[in-house]
Amino acid sequence: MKIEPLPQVTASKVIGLLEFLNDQEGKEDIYKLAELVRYEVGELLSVIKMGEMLGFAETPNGDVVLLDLGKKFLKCKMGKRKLLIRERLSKLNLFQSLINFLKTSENGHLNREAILDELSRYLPHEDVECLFKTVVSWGRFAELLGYNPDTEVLYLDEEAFPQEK
Amino acid sequence: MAKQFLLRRSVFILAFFILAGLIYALGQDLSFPTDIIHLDTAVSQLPRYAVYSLMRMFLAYLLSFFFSIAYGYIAATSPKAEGPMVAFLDVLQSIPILGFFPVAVIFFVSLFNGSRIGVEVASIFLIFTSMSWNMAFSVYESFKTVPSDLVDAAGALGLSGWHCFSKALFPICIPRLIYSSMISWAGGWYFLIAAEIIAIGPVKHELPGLGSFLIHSTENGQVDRTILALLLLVGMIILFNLFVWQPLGVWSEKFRYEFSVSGPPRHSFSLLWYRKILATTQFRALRKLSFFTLSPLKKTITLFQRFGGKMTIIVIKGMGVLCLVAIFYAVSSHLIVFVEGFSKPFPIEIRNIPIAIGASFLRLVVAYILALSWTLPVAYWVGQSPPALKVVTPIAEIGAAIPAPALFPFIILFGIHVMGGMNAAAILLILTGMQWYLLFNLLGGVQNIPADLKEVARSLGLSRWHAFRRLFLPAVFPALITGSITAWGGGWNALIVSEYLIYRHEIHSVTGIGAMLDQAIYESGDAQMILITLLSMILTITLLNRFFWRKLYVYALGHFKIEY
Amino acid sequence: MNFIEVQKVFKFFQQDRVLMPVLKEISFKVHEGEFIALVGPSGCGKSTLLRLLTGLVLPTEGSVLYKGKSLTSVNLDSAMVFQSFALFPWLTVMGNVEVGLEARGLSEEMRHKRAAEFIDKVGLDGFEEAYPRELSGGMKQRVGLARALAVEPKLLCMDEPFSALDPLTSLALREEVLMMWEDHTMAVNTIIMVTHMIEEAVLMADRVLVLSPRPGTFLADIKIDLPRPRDKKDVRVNEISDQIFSLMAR
Repeated sequence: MKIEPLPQVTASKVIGLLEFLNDQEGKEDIYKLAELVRYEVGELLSVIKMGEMLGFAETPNGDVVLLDLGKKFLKCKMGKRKLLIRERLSKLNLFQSLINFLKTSENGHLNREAILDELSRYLPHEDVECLFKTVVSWGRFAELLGYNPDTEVLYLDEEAFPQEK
Repeated sequence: MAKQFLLRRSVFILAFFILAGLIYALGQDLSFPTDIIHLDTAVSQLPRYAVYSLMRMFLAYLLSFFFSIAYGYIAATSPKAEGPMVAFLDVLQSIPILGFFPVAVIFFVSLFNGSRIGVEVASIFLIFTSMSWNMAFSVYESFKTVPSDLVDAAGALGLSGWHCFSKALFPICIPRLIYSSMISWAGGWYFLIAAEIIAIGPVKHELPGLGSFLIHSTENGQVDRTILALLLLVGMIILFNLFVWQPLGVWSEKFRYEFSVSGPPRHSFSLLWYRKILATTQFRALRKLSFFTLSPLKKTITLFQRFGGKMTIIVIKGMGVLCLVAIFYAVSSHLIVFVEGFSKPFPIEIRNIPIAIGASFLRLVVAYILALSWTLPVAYWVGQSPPALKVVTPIAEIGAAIPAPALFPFIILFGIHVMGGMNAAAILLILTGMQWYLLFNLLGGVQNIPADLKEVARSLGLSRWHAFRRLFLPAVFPALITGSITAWGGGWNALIVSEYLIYRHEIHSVTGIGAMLDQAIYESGDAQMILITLLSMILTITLLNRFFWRKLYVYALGHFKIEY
Repeated sequence: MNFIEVQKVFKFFQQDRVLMPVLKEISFKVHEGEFIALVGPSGCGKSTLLRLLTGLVLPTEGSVLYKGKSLTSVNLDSAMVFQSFALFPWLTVMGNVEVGLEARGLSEEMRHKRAAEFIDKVGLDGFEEAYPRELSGGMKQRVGLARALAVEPKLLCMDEPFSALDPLTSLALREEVLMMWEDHTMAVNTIIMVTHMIEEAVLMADRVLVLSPRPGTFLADIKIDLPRPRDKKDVRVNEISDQIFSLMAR
């Protein structure tokens, strides 16, 4: 099973991309897009990549195309949007492995250090500190994972995993 | 640029004149030996004494200035020396001024065969010890935070050696150096009395000055003279603040390497006034004149600089090494006493040390709580109405500089007669050595609260209590901790002028480590006791710093730092 | 009775012993349920005007009436969203949203419930225990919005709420705010927003008030009755934007 790292982008940027594509009738040339939103190309590619991983967009022949799921997403309200993202995220190998790893622990709680070790096992060449931040941020947004910065503990969100004790 | 240069030059010229005057004044009195330095307590002597004290302060400050730059520069730039140098400075900071008496007496006084000049040098050295450590720290910290892009830029511009130091590095430490200079200057006044009467047991050297005048008048219970001397002192402090520190502070603002501008720019009328003078035609004529007379000198200087860019750095480092050697010598002379001290059996009084430390600690805690209970509300008030700062700052600056012993008569009257007990008096005196540091730091912290957070508090309708608890307290917490660390340092040092005092030929003292040290120094002169009390005091302070304050500080930075 | 009425307001600021005029003779009315945008070149005093409307700043001359009464202190029926987010760094997301409720004397249980409700509405659930330093700009501004909405104000003031965000994030947030306003999830229906982006004003507001450069005077009150959701490429959006731009450039 190949585990792909998460691009270092925030949910707001991905949603912004979808909104932008929607305004442009669902399709735009990548280089033109970078100019229009005044993004550095590398960063824009990360945002697009995340959009692809979530199944909201596609990049045929140097264009970005908004997929039907993306259109559906934009029509939803906040709560439904989060559900859609949770559904998509939990299909990613990275999240699946992490969730399984958390499930092996006593009550779905593991501290930061253990998670960092696990992440560097999955992806030995990644900056795991950064990856951890991105995972926490998306995990929280999708209410898959919770993280308490005071105790430095990552846990399975009760919203997605109700009382599996 | 030219103006800056001129201002710097005028400061140098001023310094030169004061120096020349001092040398002249010293030369006048050099003829008579020390043992009979005649202390004339006639009121007519006051102006002369004030000038003497001011000169001592000035020389000590000059010494501290160069010492702190050299020490801070070396500590910040040589990775090997950094650790030990900072630790050493930490220890030095915790030694109360009395702890340097043996050095002053053994080294300086005897070096000059007990002549007046030796005592003068010893006195200047003692004032230096109450000024320089915190300045050295601020220089060190400034150099540590020199933005690397600035150093790179300096390198790219081809600045090296002296030029890199004077154009890129030194300006960085100016704002903090000037700020800490203000505090150090006040600290110098605070301990002036201890520095002008140097004694170990029966050997007693008194120098004519404002400090000894003050102590004599209180010892004799002449309250009118105390008040007179105090007024003179306060007048001098005010003038100095108005004409030296305030303009320097405003001028130093432009060296701040920060992009965010908080609040309106500060003003100093005397700085505007200096600038006006610099711009007048007469002054320009004077400048032209001085240009013609000084240009050969300037040429030699540039010539020297061209050849000696590296030389100057070496000279600076040399001065630093010299200072280190002096300190090393001082420490080793301590060591001799140390070895002697431990080769004899310990005196029985040693058993009292833990109790004494405990009692002093309790007094410090009470004084600290008292200090907090008024500085926090005042800082909060200043935060609510910034114009109040203009009222509070000068009061704090003067208050910080008034030497504790000068307050003896009033505190004894109040403490012993009204509040009933020397303990109350001692606590009040400790308070004078603690509260201002707390206030200074809190005022600094409160000014750094972002305006938008204050606006949020108002717009959400936070009550006074909620705004205090949710905004003010967390926002000033790091400043509160830094302030507490310095206040406790100041408090420990102030013990020696708080727990043991002479008023109307009567000794008032309480059980405490400060009183023990005083007794050992002023009464018995027992080297062993001096050493043991001193060491136990330093140990307590250092342990507290390391295991309590430093941890709290790290926590505060982690949780309450405002980043934008 | 008008919801808000600004009557011949002048505002001066003391600067180096000189009184600098910031706003000059401003008068207008705000009706309940309106979305108003204040636009003008930078430094024209539009942020000051916004603070006048909430009572954070009081006018030098003239008065601001809220429901017929002249404002003499902060109007607790209003809430503010800041360009710089202005979050308390030592409080969690939950703590930041609760602060205003605590000030209003709600019980701990009540404020927890109410805060959670608004955190949910702006899409922040999952982030309750995060500190602001962990959040991206977009998430920070959502906290700012939740904090303002949680006190259930009658008037929501936003001072350049999207200008500190990157273009995609600001686009996403702008759409979310519009969506919440349109389907009344916000509980507040009167919004006044300061912006320097003319297009943003035209895409979002019912009325655009245009101010002149400093000292700010009233240039125009432009009603925008285009249907929502509005399209950036709509000819009328462009026309109105051009009209405002030429007013300001004059």
